[in-house]
Amino acid sequence: MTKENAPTSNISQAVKKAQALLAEHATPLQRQLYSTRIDPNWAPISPVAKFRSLTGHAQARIMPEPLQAGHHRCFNRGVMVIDDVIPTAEFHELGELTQAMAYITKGWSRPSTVCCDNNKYFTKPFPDQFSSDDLGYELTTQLNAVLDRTIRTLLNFLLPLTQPPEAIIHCNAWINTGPIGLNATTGQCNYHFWHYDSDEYLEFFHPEPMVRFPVWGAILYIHQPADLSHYTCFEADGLNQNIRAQPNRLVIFDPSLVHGVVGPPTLEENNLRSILVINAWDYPALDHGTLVNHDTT
Amino acid sequence: MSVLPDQLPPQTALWDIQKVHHSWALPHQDLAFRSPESRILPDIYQANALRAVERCLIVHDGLLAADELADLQQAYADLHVGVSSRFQRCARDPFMAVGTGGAPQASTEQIKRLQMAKALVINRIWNGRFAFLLKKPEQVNHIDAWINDGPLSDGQKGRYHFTHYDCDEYLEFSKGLFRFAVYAAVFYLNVDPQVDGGCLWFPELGQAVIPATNRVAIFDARYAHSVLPASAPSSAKRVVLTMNVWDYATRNERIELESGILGYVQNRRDELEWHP
Repeated sequence: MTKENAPTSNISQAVKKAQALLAEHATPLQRQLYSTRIDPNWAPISPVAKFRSLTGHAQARIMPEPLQAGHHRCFNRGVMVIDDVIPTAEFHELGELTQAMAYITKGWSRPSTVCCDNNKYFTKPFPDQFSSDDLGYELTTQLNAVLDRTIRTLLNFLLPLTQPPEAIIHCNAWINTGPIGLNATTGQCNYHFWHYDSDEYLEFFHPEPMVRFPVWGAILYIHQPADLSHYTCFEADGLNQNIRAQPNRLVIFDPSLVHGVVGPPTLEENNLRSILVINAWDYPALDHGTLVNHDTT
Repeated sequence: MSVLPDQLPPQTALWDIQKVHHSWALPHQDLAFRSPESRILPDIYQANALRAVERCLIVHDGLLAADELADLQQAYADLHVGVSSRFQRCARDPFMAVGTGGAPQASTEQIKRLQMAKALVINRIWNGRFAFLLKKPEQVNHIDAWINDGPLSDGQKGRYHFTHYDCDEYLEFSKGLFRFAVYAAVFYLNVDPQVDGGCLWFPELGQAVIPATNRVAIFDARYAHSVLPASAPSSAKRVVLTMNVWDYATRNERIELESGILGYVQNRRDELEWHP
């Protein structure tokens, strides 16, 4: 099942779920954004970006700058590459757990969220996608602990780039492993299609599809098959820059830049390319993975 | 008995290094100029403590507004010489040029205009958008900046610019020791679309930066780097403003020559006084 052919019942369930979450957690900024009406003068999305509203509504538009998070970034239109970000022993543990999870879940991601309360960050997994029944108690416990530790480490890199750092009050994080069906596309970005990192509720489920970007997008390359090269590509009309995937390399980027991944499919079960992705938000944006349950059987 | 780096007294200055230890790391194998005796100074001597983010590379577009970029391009076109410059500041004030640099054919006004335009780039980076990179900004002694507008004349080992470190060249050439700047940056002042290639290449990262006008690449200066071959019609320019951030008074003979202040002294202790 992919985003493109999700049954209507799933969409309505996701919308109901989103509305329940929003009723409980939405911030004033979020309410403002979600009640904004599309203006046809807003910029259209990049023609290369793959974008699908599941509601079958009109062409998506990019929210204008006053509604975006650009003012929270120390720099826009850029990418930052940092190597050796996770201590070696911890990184090794993360890699082993990621591969173990991918084997059981057939590559589906494990999303987590980070909530902020009084400038303290709390990481929690989304139990709806994989329960301990799927992954087993031991793996679930280990994964939760390691993801919490890893995401906290990565936040230490993201917060100093943010003005003010406490603007980040929420993160969506997930692990992608291998060439899962969702990613398989043709064209230049054959490993992961061209896309924006954006609010997936607004992108997929809002009656008027709109694109609102997080404060930062970030990718931690966890496992990279030694004999294969993959690149995160930033589109020629945007940054026009490729970043090579290397284990324990963190890439932080302005998420308004269209990006994708090129590289050969990784198919060996014990040698799958895996990454941890974080979107850091100035409000508790809802992620597609938290709204739609995936069938792992 | 040799003294291991981690046993050195905490107030050991670079000047006090009398012996190269063979256990110290070798420079990268791609380095164009290296001798078997060359070594990288251990961390205790390096500027690691001043980097808020180590082992990083940043690519950022749109550093200058259109009018600011045009002004810098014009200031450079009027002079057509790079004018190496040293920029300093008091406390957290903006960086200002120290000395005028040598350009005999240029007027003081022309040089001043170029220095001001370069200062804008430097301050936009180190006092502005990327100030977060400096853990102890008050310990930045100066920033050296210069403009290159083409491949160096020869000896490039098949590259547009040979593989090198941005390091203290006095220590490199007198003692065979590599002590890196805090950060280095390349601002692409003018890259003609007809220039094909010329990527900034980091062999240790396996990573290239594609040149583009108004783009800046900022990196941990410990990374060796080169510029890959470029081809272009002779009229097509590739002009870059390069800078190194320093935490002590390095000797830059080119700047000193152009500023007319070069003079060797018997005791270089003061120049190399630096404490980890």
